[in-house]
Amino acid sequence: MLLQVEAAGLFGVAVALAGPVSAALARAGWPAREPRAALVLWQAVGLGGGLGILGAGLTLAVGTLDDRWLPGIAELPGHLSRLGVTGWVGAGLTLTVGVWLVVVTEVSMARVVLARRAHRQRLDAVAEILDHESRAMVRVGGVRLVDHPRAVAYCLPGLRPRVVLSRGALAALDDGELAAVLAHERAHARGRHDLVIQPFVAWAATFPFLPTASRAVAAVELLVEMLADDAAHRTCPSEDLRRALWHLARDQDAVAGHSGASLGVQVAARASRLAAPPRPLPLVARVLVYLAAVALILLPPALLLLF
Amino acid sequence: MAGSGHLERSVLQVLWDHPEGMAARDILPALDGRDLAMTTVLTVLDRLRRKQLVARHDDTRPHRYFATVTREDYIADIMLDALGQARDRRAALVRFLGGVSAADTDHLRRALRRGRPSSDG
Repeated sequence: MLLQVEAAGLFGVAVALAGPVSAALARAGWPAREPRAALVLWQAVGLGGGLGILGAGLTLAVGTLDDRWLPGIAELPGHLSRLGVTGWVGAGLTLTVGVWLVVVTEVSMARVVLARRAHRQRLDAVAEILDHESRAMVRVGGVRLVDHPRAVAYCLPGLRPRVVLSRGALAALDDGELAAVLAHERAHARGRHDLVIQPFVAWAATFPFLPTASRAVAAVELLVEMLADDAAHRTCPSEDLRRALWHLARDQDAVAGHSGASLGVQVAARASRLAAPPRPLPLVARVLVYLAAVALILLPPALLLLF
Repeated sequence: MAGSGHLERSVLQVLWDHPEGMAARDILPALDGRDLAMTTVLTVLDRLRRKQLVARHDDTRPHRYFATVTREDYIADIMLDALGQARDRRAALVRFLGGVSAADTDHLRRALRRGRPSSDG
C-alpha cells in the first residue's frame, strides 16, 4: 500500500511542478536578481516534473507486485501477467509519457539542428566576415555581417558559433553600444545558452496543452538574456547596453509594424534591470535556491529507495 | 572551411550581378583577384546547385548558370530567421532581443523585402 501512496505523491509533485510551481516561478521577481540560480531551479523543476510523472506510473505498477520498490522493479519484467488493472494503468502511463517525451524531444532537437545548419549555410553564402579594421575601437573580428538595413544582432550557436550583425545594426550602434551587443552575444555563444533553452522548447513541444510549458520557455529565454546582459555589463557600461537594446527594439517594432507590446515586455524588463540593477540575493537565499533544486531531483528517488 | 564558404559567396555575388545567367568560363574571370582553376569553379557551382541556390540550364551550350533566388529574398529569409518568426527555427538562434513578437509572418516578409539593402553601405 505504501508504494501506492508514494505513487500518488510523485504524481502530485509532478502536477505541482508543472502547474502552480512553474507559474509561481515565472511570476516571481527574484529570478531577475539571480538569473543563474533561477535557471538551475527551472531545470530542476523540469527534470523533477518529468521524473515525477515517469516515476509515479512505474511505482504504481511495481506496487501491485511488491511492497518495496527496487525488488518490485526487478520482478516487473518476469511478472507482467500479475499486474492488475492498476498496474497496467501505471505501466501504461510511464511507457506512454516516456516514449512521447523521447520522440518529441528527438524531433524537436533534430529540427533545431537542421534549421541551424540551413541558416549557417545561408549565412556563410552572403555574410561578410568583419575584420579588426572595420570598427577600429571595437573588437569585431570574426563577426558576420548581413547586408540588410534592418537592425538585428544574434548568435548562431554551435561548436563554432557565429555572432551576426546586420548592416542596419552596425549603423544604428555607436562604438560603445556595439561593444556591449557583441559582449552580450559572445556570452550567449560561450555559455552555450542554446543548450539551456533547448530542453524547455522540447518540453513545451511535448506538452503543448500545458500553458506553463510555454510560460517556462519565455521565462527561461528572458533569464538567459539577463545572464548575457550581466556578462556584457562586466566589461561595458550598462548605459551602452541599455541604449543598444532601445535602438534595436525600436527598429524591430518598426519592421513588425506594431508598437511592440509583446516584444516590449521582455525588453522593458531588461532595460529597467540595467537602469537600476537589483541587489543580488543574500547568500543564504541563493544557497536555499540551489538546495531546493537538488532536493527536487534527488528527494523523490531517495524516498523510493529508502522506504 | 572558411575558404570554401568565401568562394561560394563570391560566385553567388557574381551570379546575382548577372541575372541573365552566365557560363562557367565567364564566371572565372569575374571572380576578380583570384588565381582559380576552372574545376574549382565547377565544384563550387555544383555545391551551390546541391543547396538549390543555383540552377543550370542545359539546353544551351555552354551551360548557363543562374541564381535561383534574388539577393533580396535570400537575405530576407536570413532576417526572418534572425527575427524569430519561423516557428520551427525559433530555438535555432539566440537573439539579442530574446523573446518573440507576435507579428504576422507574411507582413514581416513583405516588410523585409521592401527594405532593400543599401548598395553604398
